[in-house]
Amino acid sequence: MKRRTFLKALGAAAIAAPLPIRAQSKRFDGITLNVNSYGGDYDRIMTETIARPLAERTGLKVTYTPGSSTAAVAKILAAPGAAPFDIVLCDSPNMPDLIKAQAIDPVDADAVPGMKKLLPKMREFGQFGLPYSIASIVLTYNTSRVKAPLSSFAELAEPSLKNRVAMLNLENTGGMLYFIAMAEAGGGSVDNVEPAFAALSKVKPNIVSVTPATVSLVQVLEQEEAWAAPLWDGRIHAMRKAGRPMALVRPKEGVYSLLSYASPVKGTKHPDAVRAYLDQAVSDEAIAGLAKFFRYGPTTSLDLGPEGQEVITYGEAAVAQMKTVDWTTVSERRADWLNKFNREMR
Amino acid sequence: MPAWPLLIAPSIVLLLVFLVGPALGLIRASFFHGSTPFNGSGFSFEQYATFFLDSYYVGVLLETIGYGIVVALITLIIGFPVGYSLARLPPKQRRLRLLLVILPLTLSLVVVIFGWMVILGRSGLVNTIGLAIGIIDEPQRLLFNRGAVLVVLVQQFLPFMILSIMSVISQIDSTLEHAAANLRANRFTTFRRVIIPLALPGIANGLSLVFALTVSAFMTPRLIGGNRVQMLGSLIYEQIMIVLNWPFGSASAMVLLVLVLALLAVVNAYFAKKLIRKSKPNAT
Repeated sequence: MKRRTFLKALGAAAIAAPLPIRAQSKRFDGITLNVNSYGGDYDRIMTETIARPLAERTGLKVTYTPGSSTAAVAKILAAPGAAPFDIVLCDSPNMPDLIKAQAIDPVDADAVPGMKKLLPKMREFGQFGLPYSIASIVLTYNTSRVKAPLSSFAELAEPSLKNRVAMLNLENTGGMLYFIAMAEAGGGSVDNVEPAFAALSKVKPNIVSVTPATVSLVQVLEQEEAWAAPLWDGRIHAMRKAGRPMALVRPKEGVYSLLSYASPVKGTKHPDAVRAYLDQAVSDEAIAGLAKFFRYGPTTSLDLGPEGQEVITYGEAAVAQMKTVDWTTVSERRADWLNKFNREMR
Repeated sequence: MPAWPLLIAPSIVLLLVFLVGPALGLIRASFFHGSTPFNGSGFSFEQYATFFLDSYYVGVLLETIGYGIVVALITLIIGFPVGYSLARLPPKQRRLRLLLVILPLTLSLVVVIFGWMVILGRSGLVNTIGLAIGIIDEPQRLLFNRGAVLVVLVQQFLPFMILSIMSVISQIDSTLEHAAANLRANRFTTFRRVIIPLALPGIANGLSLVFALTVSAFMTPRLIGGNRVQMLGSLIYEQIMIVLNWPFGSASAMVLLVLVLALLAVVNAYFAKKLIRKSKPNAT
C-alpha cells in the first residue's frame, strides 16, 4: 500500500468510527461561568463539590473570583446589563437591593430540581435566590478568663467584662443581627430599634473594639484583647478546633441567622449552565461540604451524621426556632441605623 | 507635524477613559436627588447640604484633616534625616538601605495592618518587651485608639517622604555645605540656611503626598482605630459599598477631592513663594 493510499484509508476510518472512539463532547464544553466567591477554604470546598463534578459531568468550567460579596453586589449594581458575574453569591441583607435593581433573575424550582429538598423558611425572597447555607450569630467567651458562664447577649454589659467585649459594627451583617436581637429582646423590632441602642449604651463601657471585619474580631479574641463577643457560629467552631478556649453559647435572645444565596445575574449568556450550577450547588455533596467544614447550617434536609450535632441550625426543629429577619425593612433603614450607631459608639 | 501629540496620545486617552470619565460621573452623581445606587436623576445640592449642615460629618472631615497634617509632619521629622543620609551615601552603600525603605511598600496593606495588630496586641511584641524590661506591670491596651492609628499611618507613608527628601537632597551639591563650613557656619546653620531652603521642593512634595495618602486612608482607621477613629475615607466606603447611598458617597468623595486639591495648592503656593524669595538675592 502506498503512503498516500494508507493515509486516505486512515482518514476514512476515523470519520466512520463510532462516537465513543472519538473525543466525547459534553453539554457545556467551552462554557465558563464567572462567580464571585469568598476565598480560602470556602472556595476550595466549592471547587471540590460544585465546580469539579460539573466539569467532569458536563464540561462546564467555573471561575471563582474571591472578594467581599458586598463589593460584588456593588459591581453588579454599577454595571447593569454588563455585570462581571453569571452568578452572584451573597447573603440575605444584599438580596433586597439586587431584587429592587432587577439585577438578578428568579430561580425556578422546576428548572432546578434540587430546590425541592429545601427546608421550610428557606425562601425568604419568594422566587429569588437559591439558599445554600445558614450562618448564625451566637455568643462566645474565653472560658479561661471569664469565670461566670455567660448565657445571653445582655450579659455582655456585666461590669466584670469592662474593656473586654468586642463586637462587629453594623456594616457587618453579624453586627446587624446582634443589633436586631437586642432590639427584639428589649421589646422592639426592625420598626423600633431604640431598645437596641439602649442596650448598646449599657454595653459600651465594656467595649474594647468595634470592627467591621470578622477576621479582625477573631484576632482580637485570639490575642485575648477581648474575652467575649457576639460572633458567627462557624468562626467559633474554627477557633475551638484550633484549641482556643472559646465557649459557643446559644444566647437567651435566640439564634439569629442569615442565609447565603446563589442567584443568576440578569443578562447571563449561559442560562442553562447557570441552572446546572445552581442544581449542583444545592446537591447533598455541596451542602454537606460547607456544613461539615464550617459547621454552617444546611438549607436542605440532608443527613450530616454525628457532625450535625455541632451545627447550631441543623434539623427541622432547630430551623423552626431560627429567628428570621425582615431584610427588606433592614435594607431600607440600615443607613439611618449605621449613622446613629457610628455617632453613639464613637 | 511634530511627533509629540502621537507620543502622548495613549496616555491622554487612558487618563480620559479611566480617570476623567469616572471623575465626571462622580461629580454628576453627587448632585443626584435621593439615596439609591441606581437610576439617579435630578440636580440638587442636598447631598452637600446634608454633609456640611451635620456636625458629625464636619467633625469627621476635621479629624481627617488633622490626621493628614499630623502624619505629614511626623513623617517629615523622621524621614528628613533618613532621606538626607541616603542621599549622601555612595550609590553602592545606598542600594541596600534604599531597599529596606521600599520593602514595606511591596507588602499588602492588609498584611501590614494585621501585623501591627499582632505587634500592638496585649500579648504582642511591644507589651512583651515592656513586661520583660519591667517598664509595665501588666499588658497595656495599645490598639483601637488614635495613637495606634497614627503609628500605623506614619509607618505606611514614611517611605514616600524619605524618597521625596532623598531625591531632592541628592541634587544639592555637597560642595555648598563645605563652602558654608568655610564661611564658619556650624552644622545647624548650614542645615537651616543651606539645606532646608534648597530642599524645599522635596519637602513640599513629601508633605503633599503623605497628606493626600493619609486623608484618603480607610483600611487603617477601620481596623486599627475601631469605631473610635472615624475618617472620611471610611465614611465614603461605608456609603458606597454598604449603605449603597451613592449620591451621598459621591458628594463626600468630592468634598475630600476638593479639600486635597485646595490644600495642595496652598502648600505649593507657599513653598513656591518662599523659593522665589530665597532666589531673589542671588538673581541681582
